Amino acid sequence: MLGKLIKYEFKATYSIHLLMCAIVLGMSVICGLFSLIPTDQIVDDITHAGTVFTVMLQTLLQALLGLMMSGITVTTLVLIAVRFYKNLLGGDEGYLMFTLPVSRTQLLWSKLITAMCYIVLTAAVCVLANVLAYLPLLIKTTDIEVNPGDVLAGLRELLRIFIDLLRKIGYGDVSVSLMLASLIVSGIISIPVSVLRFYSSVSIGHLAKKHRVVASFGAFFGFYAALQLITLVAFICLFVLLTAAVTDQVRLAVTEIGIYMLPLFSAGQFILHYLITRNVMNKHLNLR
Amino acid sequence: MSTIFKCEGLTKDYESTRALNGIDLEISSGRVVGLLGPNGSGKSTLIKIANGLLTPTSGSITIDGKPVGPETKELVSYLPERTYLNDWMRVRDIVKFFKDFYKDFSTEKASDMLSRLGIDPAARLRTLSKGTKEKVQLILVMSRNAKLYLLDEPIAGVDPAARDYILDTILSTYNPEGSIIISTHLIYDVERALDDIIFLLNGRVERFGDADTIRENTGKSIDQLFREVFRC
Repeated sequence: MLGKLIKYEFKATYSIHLLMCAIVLGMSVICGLFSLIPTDQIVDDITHAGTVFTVMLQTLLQALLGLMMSGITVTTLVLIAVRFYKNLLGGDEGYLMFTLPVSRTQLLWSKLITAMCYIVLTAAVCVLANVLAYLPLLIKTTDIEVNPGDVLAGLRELLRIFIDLLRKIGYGDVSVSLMLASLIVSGIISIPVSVLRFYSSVSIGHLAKKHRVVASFGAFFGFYAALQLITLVAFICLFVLLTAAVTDQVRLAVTEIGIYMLPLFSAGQFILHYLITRNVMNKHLNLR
Repeated sequence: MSTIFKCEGLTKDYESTRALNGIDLEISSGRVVGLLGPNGSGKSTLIKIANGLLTPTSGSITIDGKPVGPETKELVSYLPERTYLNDWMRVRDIVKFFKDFYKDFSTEKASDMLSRLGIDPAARLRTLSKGTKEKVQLILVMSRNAKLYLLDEPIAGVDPAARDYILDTILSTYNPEGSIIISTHLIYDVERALDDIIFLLNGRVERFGDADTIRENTGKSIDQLFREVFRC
């Protein structure tokens, strides 16, 4: 049944997401093509004016592409939240979905899995859009050959420089692999967390007797504020502990605690938002 | 006859209002039951709890001996008082949707009814009139061979000719081994079809029994009795 729910969830939502992706990729191709127009051949006033216009147009297109990439990211998240509300807890479609012979958990996972796919798709489209927009110009002006292996080695080198910096300012002899693994795991967990935060906010709003949408917004901003506060307190604690550390071993231990805390904190958020959403759907459903 | 629907001490509160007040009911299989009462008597609330759309404050409902959940939703075919179809679908898509999720759904029955009503399977649901959407919903619900049909106000808001059509469709297409609970305040139109009646007032059962027996004992039609019991 979960497979069927996911199938219909994709069918209901794919068109608008693919349209947004196509528009962003189309704009990135246009940017890339425009970036290939030479702007260094000025022989008279006309070509000078043309060059100025071309540069302005290139800059405008790149700015527009940047805005579109921000826009598609925000719009994807908003569509995910609105879809959950309209199809389950807030609209008439909930009468259809909650009377299907499926569990509430399956309904939740079908929405979550589909939403995560769209977030990954949006991220991939943004990366591809940057490549399509800027790589032609980069290759043209530098005559470099881009090798994926070199890109990864470069990222690893950047991370090593960052670790060296941490070491110089007294954060201990941190393992590069450990930090990389922590960042990757946190990053992966943050995808469903970003979706579940919306879902749990809508679920909390569903508990309100009146003004459920307003209550959902309130819950969302409440969660966000709590997240900022907890993050700030955690950083302050870590900083105090590091400052108070008398040996390198203690500093290393504290730094590693910080590294381990990152994915654990993300996992904790996942569990919290998942349980809130599932609990409201299972035990406090009241469709009007 | 086995019990298909059972309520025990069912209560539902909304803020300061008690919509259902300790309902105790047992409905046997193979019966057509009228859930009758004025607006605000708790009919829709009872039906929505039976479908898991509302959480009761206390008490319980069981369908075929099972608590409300995915297992009972396989047995229950529900027609809500509102249109709940996904607007982005075509008629044939929603038929396939029901076929995918409900093992007891008959595509042939649905196609036959759509054809008799002249509804184009390729039509987008968002282009259909409200009345046609309601007919599509009714066809989907009645194309299931369910053990229990819960129909919430199926004839409210439609003209008298359409009411007769809807009732005839319901009575001619439902699973004869199943039960139907029809919630309505338009007693006159449904009375002829009812085996049992439940009078619901202010969340309490005022009267429950065999329709023929009640008519004999009171010497009145169910419609006349309703007007008497629920006089303003």
